Amino acid sequence: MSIPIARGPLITGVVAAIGMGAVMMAFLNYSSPYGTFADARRTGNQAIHVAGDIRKDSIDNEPLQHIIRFTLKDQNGEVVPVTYTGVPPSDLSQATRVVAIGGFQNGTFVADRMLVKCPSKYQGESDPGASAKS
Amino acid sequence: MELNDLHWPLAPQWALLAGQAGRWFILSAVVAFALSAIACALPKRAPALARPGQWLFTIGAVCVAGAFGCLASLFINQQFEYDYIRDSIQAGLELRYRVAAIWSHQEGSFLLWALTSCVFGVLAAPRMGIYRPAFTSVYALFVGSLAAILAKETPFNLSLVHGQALLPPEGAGLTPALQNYWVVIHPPTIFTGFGSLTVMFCAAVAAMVVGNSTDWVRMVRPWALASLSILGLGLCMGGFWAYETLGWGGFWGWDPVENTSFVPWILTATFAHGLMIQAAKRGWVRANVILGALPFISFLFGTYLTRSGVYADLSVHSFAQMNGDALKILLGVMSVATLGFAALLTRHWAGLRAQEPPRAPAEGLNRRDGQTAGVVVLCSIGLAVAFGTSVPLIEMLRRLPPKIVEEPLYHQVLGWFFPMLLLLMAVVPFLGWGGTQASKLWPRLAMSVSLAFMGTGFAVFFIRRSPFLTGQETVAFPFVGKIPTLPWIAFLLFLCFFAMLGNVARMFELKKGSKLGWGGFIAHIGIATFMAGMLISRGFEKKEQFFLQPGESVSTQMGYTVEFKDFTKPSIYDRDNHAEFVMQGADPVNQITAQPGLYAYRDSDGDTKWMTWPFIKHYVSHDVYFSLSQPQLDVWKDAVSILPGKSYSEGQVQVQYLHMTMHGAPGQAGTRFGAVVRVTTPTGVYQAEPTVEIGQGGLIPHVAVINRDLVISMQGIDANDQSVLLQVHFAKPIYPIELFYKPMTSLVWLGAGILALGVALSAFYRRNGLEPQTAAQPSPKPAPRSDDAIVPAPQM
Repeated sequence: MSIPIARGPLITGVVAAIGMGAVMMAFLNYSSPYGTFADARRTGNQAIHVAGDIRKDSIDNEPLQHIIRFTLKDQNGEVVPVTYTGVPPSDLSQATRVVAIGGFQNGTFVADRMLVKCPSKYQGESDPGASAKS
Repeated sequence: MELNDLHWPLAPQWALLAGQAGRWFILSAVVAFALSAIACALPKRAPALARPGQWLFTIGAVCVAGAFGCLASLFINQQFEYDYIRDSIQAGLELRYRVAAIWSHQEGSFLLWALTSCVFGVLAAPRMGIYRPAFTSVYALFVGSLAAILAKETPFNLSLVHGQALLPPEGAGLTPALQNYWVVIHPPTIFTGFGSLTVMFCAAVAAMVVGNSTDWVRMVRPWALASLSILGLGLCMGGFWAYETLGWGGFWGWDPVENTSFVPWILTATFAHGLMIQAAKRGWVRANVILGALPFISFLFGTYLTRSGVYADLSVHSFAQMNGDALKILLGVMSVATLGFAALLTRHWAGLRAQEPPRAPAEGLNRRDGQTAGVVVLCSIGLAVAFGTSVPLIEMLRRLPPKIVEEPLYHQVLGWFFPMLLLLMAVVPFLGWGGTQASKLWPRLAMSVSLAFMGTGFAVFFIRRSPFLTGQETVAFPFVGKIPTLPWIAFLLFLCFFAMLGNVARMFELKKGSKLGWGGFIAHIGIATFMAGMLISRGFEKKEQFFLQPGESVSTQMGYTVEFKDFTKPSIYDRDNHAEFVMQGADPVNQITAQPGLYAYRDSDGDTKWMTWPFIKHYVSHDVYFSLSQPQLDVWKDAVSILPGKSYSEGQVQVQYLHMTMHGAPGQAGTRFGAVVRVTTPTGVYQAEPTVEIGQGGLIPHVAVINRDLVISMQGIDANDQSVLLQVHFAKPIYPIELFYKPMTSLVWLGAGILALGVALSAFYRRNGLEPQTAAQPSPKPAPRSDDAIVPAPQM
């Protein structure tokens, strides 16, 4: 395997460039999309991530059936009922934003995973009275 | 002490002085580092400034340490008048967590990063010989920027109440998830690793500026190996922490924060291998200068990405967003480091090229080409992960809807590289720098290949005996589709065994040399063991989910009968409380008492929260991982006000409030008010009467049983309209449980341990490279180390 000096790095570079090109294509084409309910309906994707504001008064927990229902308002302002099955996420009642991962089934958005974002209770809640930063 | 209307004492004078001292230390550090950067940048024009520049660097480092000491003293003494401390801890927190809380938020973690960077700077600078002025100048510029960020986003902000500094009695508290011994040791370790990256970057810049990219190899190599060792240890600690405490059943999720640590680590491994080529053959001058800078630049990029808000809506993690000005400074540091390095590289490219020696011809398969291929594969893995992490940013810049790369896709894409990496690890150590004939190579590899086939056969035999393997498992690959899991993992396992055995064989071949030189081989064995563990553990993992109430039992798909026995402590608020489950397998001997952790606590709002952590039964062949989630107590998430005659429905339970009852005289303690309700559930219609009793301290609710599964409580009453506050609860809390069967996870930890040992051994072996180089003139041809001359395949 005695390769001329000039050709060795060239071949290595070309192979590496093709490899990295394939990696980039794979990551860009097969990564998980974020979108709206309209995107989920249009594409039929069953693993779309829809981020939105959860309506706290809409949370309907049915632990005996291991189902949680709630309504989610996406970035377009569309409000859609979501059905989630699985281990209930902690602090759902405290949640402000939710990412529901799933797709439409018979007109309902069914999520099999859920990411819950809560306001950080560890930040700035204990500011004493009318405080002023020095 | 004076008391104000809040009844809080004035903050002690020493604490105010400590905070002020902390701020002044930070500002002094900024000034000292700026002056040091200027003084050390002018050694040719003003040589007399070099020494003061070095002193200024040390003064700056001492100031950063002083600021850290001030913050530590404020934390240890619970000085809640400071915003950062009040937001981070609560009164009475154990000392070790008060110390750990220093780096629990952004400001403190930046201060820790600055401190560890300074420690490495002070240690490395005197050993940089002819590179010292340029090295110190660049280093001072960087740590000075970190200090500037800390000046802007300071942890020493004081809250004033009516113009006075008062000492509140309580803080918001350290989240219970962080009250774990790992938080005490993991962040300092990983930040020490991050700090060490600066040495490689500054040495690479200095090598270009000085015009000698040859001698720096000997000086930077021990630091690269130390960095590899410490960062690797930190990564393993993080993985173990996640596995032991977080309860999601994994140790690595390719999260952006994890990737921000992984990419610099693998690029440092790339650099360490590149330095071997330069040490042995004196080539790779330009490549190593670039590789030396990449770990640091990639870390800055990752830090910026995770702090800039790009991931704010795309991840479950609440990435702390930086103060706008501090973020601009970080962006400036990253831009200056990247663009400045690129500009210097362009300027010095011709000079670097001139330092590349002509390549000596090699016969047959040779070490240099093999090692080059290894470096390309390692670097590609690092860049691939960096690209995957950047996908949300790329999509944002393309003005497309955001996308995110999740864990399975990382496995699928990086799976392309593993066969190449393992094969190179197995074969390349046998190749000589001058070339090795294939006909002479094969007999040396034959034993390893044969044993690897045998090992794979045994592994497949045992994997197929697993009761949980259906034989229908598939693994998906982009562009390829799905392939059966078992053959694919068998192929990779063969390569893992080949890499392990090949390196063992190579150690035996070199047994007459220094055993310390085995570090590289041991590290390869560790990597191969780790990957074998990952493959089997993740590839054949089984998971199931079920729900259980205290006293109940359930049969699981894995063949266990799981019974919820009891709690280990009388109070659910006891931090040492565990829930106890007995898991009985089909075989009577196969019984496990699982005790996952569970306790309740009240947050700063007074709400009840739950802390859980998993139970793991470690066997040599597998782990049984039992993860408990917080209990489901309430059918109705809140108490609901209902007027007489009206109904409310939630969670398939409808309650109609019929009328109010009273037992006793109004206004007297002990009198009970009740609400007669009709409850409609999927199993039937029931009548119940929850009550509230007038007690000395207020109303005392008494629950009423609806049926076997449900109870109802009355939590308030409105005398005006006779409405009542009602809430439906489960008679017994429902606990969601996830059970994992994880085969051969022990190999993951064993491999990580072997890897850490191997790299540490290499760093120790190369410690002599720390000797200062005092020669004024660059040496065009450094004397090779004796082992490089003797051993055809120098180790890491």
